[in-house]
Parts: sequence; C-alpha cells; structure tokens
Amino acid sequence: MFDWEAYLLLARELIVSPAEAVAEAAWRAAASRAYYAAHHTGHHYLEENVGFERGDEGIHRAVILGLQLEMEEVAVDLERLFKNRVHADYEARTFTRGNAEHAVELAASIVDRLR
Amino acid sequence: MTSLLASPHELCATSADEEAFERARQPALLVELVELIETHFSLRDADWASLFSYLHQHPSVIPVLLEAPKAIRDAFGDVRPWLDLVTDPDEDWSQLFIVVPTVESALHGLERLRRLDALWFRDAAHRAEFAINVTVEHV
Repeated sequence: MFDWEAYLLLARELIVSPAEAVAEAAWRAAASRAYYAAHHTGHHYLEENVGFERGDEGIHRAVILGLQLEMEEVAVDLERLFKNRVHADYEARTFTRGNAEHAVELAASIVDRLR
Repeated sequence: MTSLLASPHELCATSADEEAFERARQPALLVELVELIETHFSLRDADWASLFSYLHQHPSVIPVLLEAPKAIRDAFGDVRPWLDLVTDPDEDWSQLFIVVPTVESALHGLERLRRLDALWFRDAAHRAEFAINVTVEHV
C-alpha cells in the first residue's frame, strides 16, 4: 500500500536545488505534492476513524468538511493548503519558493496531527 | 417623541417590526463594509458582484471581515491583505480567503499565522461558520 507521506519527502526534495530553468515549476510541484500528502492522510484518517462517507460534494471538499467535524484546526489548515495548491497548479502569477516551503511546513504539521 | 437613538427593542412593538428594522439598516452595514474593504484590503481573485453574492449566502462572514483588519495588523503589522474568492477548478465550491502577503521565511510566516489563529481566527472561524479562511502568501 502506498504511503502518501512519500509525497511530502518528494516535496522537500523538489524544493532543495532545482535547476534555475525549472525552479518555479519544481516549487509548484512541491506545493501540489505537499497538498496531496495531507489530503490523502486526512482521507485515510477519516476512513479509519469515523467511517467516512461522502455526500454530493467532491472529494477535496468532502475531506475538509469531514475533518471540520473531527479536528477543525486541521481542516482550516488543509483548506489553506488547498488554496496554495490551486495557486500552484492553476494560476499563472509567480509562485515563490517561500510558498512551496510554507506548503511543506503546513502539510507536515497536518500529517503529524493526523498520525 | 421617541429618540432615534433608542434600541430596536424600544422602537418596535413586535418581532416583525424588529426584523423589518434590521433589514432596513442592512444598507448602512454594507456601506461600512465597502468602506472597510476599500481602505484595508485589495480585491484580487474576486469582484464586488461575486463578493456580495458570497456574503449574501454567508452573512456570518460580514462581522468577521469587519474585525479582521485590526486582528491582522496585531499579528502581521502594517500589511494590506488581498481578498480572494477561491473557486475549486475541479469541484463546484467557493471559499473566501483573506490572504496576507509576507516576505518572511515560511517558518516565521507560519508562526504569525498561528498567533493570528490563537488571538482571533480560531474563534472568528466558528462565528463565520467556516465560510472564510485566512492564509499567507509569500511574495
């Protein structure tokens, strides 16, 4: 079974020393992987601990809403990370290394609390 | 003559009167809100129409927005946050974000966000029924 925390390790590696030509792409990819590490860990937590059932909403929203009932501060942080991921994956305005580092720190904090 | 400074309870004979009074004074609250947003925030991924549509759907956000500038100033200093209405590109939902720009390191930015959570946002998020969030963006 795949360990989603490996995405967090990958995110850290992507930040360290990317070639200049792909630096911003690496930071964006790091933020995206960091989000998915936290999202899947949250999803797994809900399935294992509260018999997670989705409503009509999509899976990203469903995990945030599920965590809101169980660990609301984690849900607030996952939503912050989600916004960061939307920027990384969909928005053309500059994405800095600081945003990637912020995503990794936030994701690590979420994963720690869900362990 | 009844004073115009009297409370709605004193001015209104019935609960229906009180509700009508509250509805009638909503425009004043919206004017205050527009002035506050223009003074303290920049609209980024949001326009006035989409913002007011969102606030109409989530009125509990309004008082939190009104108190946000002071709370953010206390945690982050003199900054001008953005208001972003984030729409999930893959799923059909939106969420209003206050985004605080920062040039600090990720750890320091996160520390300030944690301070904001402890001093204000943890309670404010409850009152807003989680229809608003605050985050930082490293510029």
